[in-house]
Amino acid sequence: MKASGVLLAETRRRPGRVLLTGLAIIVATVFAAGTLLFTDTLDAYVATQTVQTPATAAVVVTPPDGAGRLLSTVGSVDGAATAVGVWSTYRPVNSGVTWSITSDPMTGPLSRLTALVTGRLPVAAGEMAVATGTAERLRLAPGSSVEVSPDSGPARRFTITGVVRVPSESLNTAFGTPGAVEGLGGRLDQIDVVAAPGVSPEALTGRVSAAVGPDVRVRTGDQQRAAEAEDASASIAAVLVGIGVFAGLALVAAAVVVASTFRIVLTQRRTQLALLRCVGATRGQITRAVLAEGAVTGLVAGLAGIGAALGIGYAVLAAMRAAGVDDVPTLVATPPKLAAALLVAVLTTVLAAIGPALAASRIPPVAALGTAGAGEAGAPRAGRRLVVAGVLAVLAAGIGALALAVGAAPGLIGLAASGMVAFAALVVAGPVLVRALAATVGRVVVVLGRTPGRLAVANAREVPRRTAATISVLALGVGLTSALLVAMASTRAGATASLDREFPADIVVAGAGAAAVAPVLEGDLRLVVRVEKGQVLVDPAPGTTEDATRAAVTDAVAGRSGMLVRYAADARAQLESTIDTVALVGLGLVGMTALVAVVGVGVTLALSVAERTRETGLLRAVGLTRSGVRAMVAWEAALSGAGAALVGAVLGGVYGLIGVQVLGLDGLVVPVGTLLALVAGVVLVAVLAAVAPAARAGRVPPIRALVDA
Amino acid sequence: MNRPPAARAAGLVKTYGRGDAAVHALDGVSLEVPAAAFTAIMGPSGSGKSTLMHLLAGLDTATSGQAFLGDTDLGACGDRELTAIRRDRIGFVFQSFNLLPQLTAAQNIDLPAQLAGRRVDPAWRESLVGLLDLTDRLGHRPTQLSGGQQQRVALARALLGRPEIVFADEPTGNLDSAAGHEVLALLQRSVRELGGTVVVVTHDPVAASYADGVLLLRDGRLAGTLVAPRPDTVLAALAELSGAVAR
Repeated sequence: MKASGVLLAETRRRPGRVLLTGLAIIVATVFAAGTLLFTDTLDAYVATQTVQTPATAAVVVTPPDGAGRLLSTVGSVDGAATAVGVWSTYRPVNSGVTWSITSDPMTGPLSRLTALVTGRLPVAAGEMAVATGTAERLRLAPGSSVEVSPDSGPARRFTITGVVRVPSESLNTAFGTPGAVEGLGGRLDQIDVVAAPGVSPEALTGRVSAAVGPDVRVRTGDQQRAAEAEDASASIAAVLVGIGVFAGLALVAAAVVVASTFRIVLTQRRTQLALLRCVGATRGQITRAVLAEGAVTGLVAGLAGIGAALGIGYAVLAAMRAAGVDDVPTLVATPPKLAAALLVAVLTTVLAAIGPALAASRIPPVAALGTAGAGEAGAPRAGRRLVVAGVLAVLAAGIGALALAVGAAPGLIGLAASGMVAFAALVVAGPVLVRALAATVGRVVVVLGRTPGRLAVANAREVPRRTAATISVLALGVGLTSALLVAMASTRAGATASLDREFPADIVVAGAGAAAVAPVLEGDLRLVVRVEKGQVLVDPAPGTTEDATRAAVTDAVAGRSGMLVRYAADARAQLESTIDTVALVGLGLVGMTALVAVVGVGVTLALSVAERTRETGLLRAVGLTRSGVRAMVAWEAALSGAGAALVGAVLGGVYGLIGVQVLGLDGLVVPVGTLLALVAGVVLVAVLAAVAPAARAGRVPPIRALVDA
Repeated sequence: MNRPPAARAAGLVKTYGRGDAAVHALDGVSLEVPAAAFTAIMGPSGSGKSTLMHLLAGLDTATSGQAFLGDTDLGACGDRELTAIRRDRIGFVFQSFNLLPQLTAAQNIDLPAQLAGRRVDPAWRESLVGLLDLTDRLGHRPTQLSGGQQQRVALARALLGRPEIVFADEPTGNLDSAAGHEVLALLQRSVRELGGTVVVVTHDPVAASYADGVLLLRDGRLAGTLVAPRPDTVLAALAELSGAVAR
């Protein structure tokens, strides 16, 4: 049997260890595969939501000037069965908020309103249908009426005849007949044409094009629908690229964890590997054997991760359906993309195994004869490590400075590169930094943890490379989170400041008609009114509630036109909700890296506990209680967690501030309280990750001290 | 010497596995370990001598029968009590030294006292370290010490708490004869000069000859005793045991 066969036989004998070694890869793959599933599903879903042109339209004409004169030309082309213009406009309704008003033929093959919820579709010029969200917000129902201010002239009254469901509704949305929307000053967006029986879309496109002239864009319906779908994809592409970057970061973190776990597992199998060398395995064979094991681990972990991602995907969508969410998309799984994710998982694992494999090949055959030396062979070469780390740190600073000078999007990419180089510096310097950590945070742990704490610090120092790997990955997760928190806090502060400049008062009335309404408002004792630069600024008088203020302003402007009333509270609430959403999404993405890191803490401790069974037995034999053993493991986790949290929060905070500068945003805010909470949270999570290994260590019987491992 | 026995076994049975695969490591052993004496437990491989020590030291629990340390029935103690007993009343010396590699010699020596939250008597510690010739080695890690030095550190750790009894499992198994002699002589002095009780499990007749008495085990039962053993009498007794097996 070849050397790889022997090692793989060992893998088959203990399949659980493959999963443990590959746990970080599993998590990262779940994330990567989940990203793919999410991307494809979202892509397909958004396409169905944003393609507006009905499938019945064979030809679509886009008038360059939005004028209605082309409509009759297109309608009279030979082979055109029906031609309908789509008009749209944005108009203030009831002298207040602007609505989006779009035309629809209401009947026939080109009608886009296919989901009538209540009432009927409009037929006359004085009738409109509203979208569901609009109806809900404004408590409109069939029979209600609204006043729409046209381009010029007095407001026109419309009766609401029905409520329709539409794919997306960002503004208040209403639909009228083509004549009604044109009459409000609407613009002709496009002309949908149905072909007569026997006329192909291509032929009709040619004829229409000839009729309208070369300056007008004429597409087949299929081309138009494809273009609309593409627009939608482009709008979410930036988001998806962002998610991809974070999936990559999670994979980098997983690679560092896997490299560390391989090193530990191989150290534990030192005697076995040396025996292989004794009986004639070459160094190359040992290296290849370890890499083969890495490939198998990556394959198993990758498959497990993809399977988990699919399972989670189906479960989430099923849960959404069960919860009564309508319009739940179906999961789109693209096999070639998932296969690529699997390949990436395998490659990442094999890459991570290269270092440990080379180290394993350097185990001398004579090691088979000695006692199996647990722990790490050789002290870290502090000098060389510090030199390399220093060079990397300077490089990171250089790239960071360059990024700051360039600014904007390329600057941000440069900053990310600088961050990764800084991470590499941390990984290289890690084993040396562990000593510094033991001398600082370690002291606190010794004081708080007494003897178990002292043992924990000694344990961490005993395996500096392992401790450093755990810490650096966790620091990466914490750093990303801190950078995001700093960026969010700064953005929030900057946006709030600019909002305050924009809104010198609670309510701002602007526009040509504002001056006329100022005296009315000034006469109201409930309000404090100023006029500045043509804007009427309204604040509540002491004792006036916000609702009363709004009501007073609404009454005053009722029936007048040419005004825009804006509420600072609304703008602020909208800003808050936008920032909160972005923060939530960002933290979710960053959380994946943090999760990989926490898995790393757990796996490393589990392996260390397995390796130290004999020592644990000895401690039990000489009088350490079971809870003392558990405390020892927990303190080791807390030490790693604290080290990682401090390094990560500082580095991440600095990068977050530079990022804000690179993007040229106002406001530099370091959310000290939030960062401290993050540090405490990370220590807590690290200790939680230690629960299972600690329980296992606690079960080691004292007699294990005497039994040869 | 009318002191009560330091440790006692009453019908001790230890069975590993069950059914057809059951192995009776101890098959009803009753014996007494005298206080203030150096006792060796001997027997061929598989005779149960290590198991007997594990049970008397509270490292393992008996299938049936009782093991006493002084007046304490170890079988009636929970894990927490056993931990405290091992920490406060027993000292251990193991074949493979069993020092914690991440601690220095001094930290290893002080470990049980630290775990107990006990104050170390500095004069006693100093005289012990001097007796064991470790004064220059206290700051070293175990990997920087020779086998004999490591075992002397383990001995210091065992004796520092003035335990009622010291259990040593093949303490010379991994040492050359000079270092082995040193360790055994030190164990002997701890009995003669300090009034301690030492139990050594060994299969080495020379090591057993340092003891005041030898308990011989075979097939999980007490097969005989020797008083004032010499290497030749121990060898003869062992030969007799093996012969009994052959017959």
